[in-house]
Amino acid sequence: MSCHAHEHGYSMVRLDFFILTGNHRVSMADTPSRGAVEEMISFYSRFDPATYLSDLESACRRQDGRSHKQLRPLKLLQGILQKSTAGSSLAKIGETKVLAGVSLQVGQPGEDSPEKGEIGVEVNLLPLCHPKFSSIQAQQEESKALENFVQSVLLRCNVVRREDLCIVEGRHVWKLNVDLQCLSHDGSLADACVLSALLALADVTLPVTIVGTDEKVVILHGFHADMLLGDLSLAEEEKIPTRLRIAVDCETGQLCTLQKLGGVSMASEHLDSAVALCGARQKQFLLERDLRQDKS
Amino acid sequence: MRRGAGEWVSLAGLRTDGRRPNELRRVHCTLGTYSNADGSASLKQGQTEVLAIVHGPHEVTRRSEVQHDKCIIECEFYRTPFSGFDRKKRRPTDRASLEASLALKQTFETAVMRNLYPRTQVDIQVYVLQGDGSILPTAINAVSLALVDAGVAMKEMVTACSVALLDKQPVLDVTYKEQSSGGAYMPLAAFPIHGEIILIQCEARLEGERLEEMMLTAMEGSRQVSQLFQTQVKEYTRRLAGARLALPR
Repeated sequence: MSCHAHEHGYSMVRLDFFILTGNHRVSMADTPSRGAVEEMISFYSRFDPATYLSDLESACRRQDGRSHKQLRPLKLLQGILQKSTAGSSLAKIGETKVLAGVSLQVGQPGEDSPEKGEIGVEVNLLPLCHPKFSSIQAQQEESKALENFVQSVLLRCNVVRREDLCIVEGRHVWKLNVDLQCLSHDGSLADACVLSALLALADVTLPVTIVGTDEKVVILHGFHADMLLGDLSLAEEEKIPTRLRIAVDCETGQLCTLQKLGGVSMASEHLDSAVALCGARQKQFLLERDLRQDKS
Repeated sequence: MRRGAGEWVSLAGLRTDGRRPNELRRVHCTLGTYSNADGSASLKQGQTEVLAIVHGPHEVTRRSEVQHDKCIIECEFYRTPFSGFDRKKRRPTDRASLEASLALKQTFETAVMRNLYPRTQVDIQVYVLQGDGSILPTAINAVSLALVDAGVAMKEMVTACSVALLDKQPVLDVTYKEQSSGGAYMPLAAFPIHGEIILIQCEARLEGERLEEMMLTAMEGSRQVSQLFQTQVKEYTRRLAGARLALPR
């Protein structure tokens, strides 16, 4: 195996590839702090991404210390903005945070669906969450893709039945506007968006009828680059462009959405392991939800 | 008109258009229809007709985006106003078209041997002339053929097929009515010989075992399409080789 010598504002160090497995053998003048080691790994991964990725395959730890199929911790909060919104929530996956607010409006239904209400999704990606969104164009591309995805999960997977949003057929229906605000981006943004959108919708109490979204959906981002990595962090997202998204109903375990839009070709066995990873996220979600219910 | 369960696939095992569940629609393809473009193909699967045009590899239009070791692939997806059920003027920047262009771009970024064409760009344009279900798979197949016509090297011809779950049975190459029946619809694009999946999408509720079943059916469908294309492409090449002796193209 080769060695790299980096002089990058730190003392000269020789890092073995074993740094990826966690037992780093480092011989140098000063012992670098944990932050310095991470910085070096990120420098090395940007400098020689091909070797870094092939290392990732053979070693069993990622940059943040997780194994290939380990998920980041999940934290969910509901009903945090009670004054201004009808329903709200905050979803945290590791460092990624997405805030969702649902506002209600009464409006006229569309011509071809007089008995159905409407659900609109808007995603806001400001430079606040990550400096790459400093241009309007970058914001729009990513936010459109996310809006598309969240809307397809909400509507096509029957999370909220649009018929429930009807007040007077043909005249008045509820229009729900789900606004998702990304507060911090560290990968798996789509997961966090969907989870917070669902929780916010579940938090909504319509003045006339009560909307109970009792079928919640759990999403996993599994990415593939000759190997399957679950729950990508931002650094990994930037290096591994191929996305595999799976949404699973957390009550029944039914598959709701499966999406792999191009990217590196994948053998079909990986699909099964991806669906199994979803099961792990499902357990995490259920645990979180039970914790919240115990508290309230 | 909505039909009840059990009426998409009859007792005799025939669908509404008389096909068997794992039978593809009639495929008609022509390569080299546009002499202006480097590569073009017109593909008709049943009543879904798609035209794909390839320009390139040529110099990159935006100098700042040139990649020193591979070619850039740009993809645009257009639908004519009369291509759908009702007349609807679709802008190329609406969500569905953007998603389709992104899917096409990412699929062909994998398929095309990009490192053979460094510092260049390949433009792909897809026009949906008539849509009767399975638009994305047909578009992918058309682009594959157009790239072959343009002489752009690919690892393998990508072929795609759609599958839907109707009356609890997976059926191949769905029409518009079958696609909008409410059953699970899954387009899949793969390298048929290697058996590797490039694109897969399913936005309906599905049991775990069903996924496996549908995926295998779709892979089989893409293999059938690939065999059809092999014969067509060979025929076309033979004609080209023969014609080159006679007249310049």
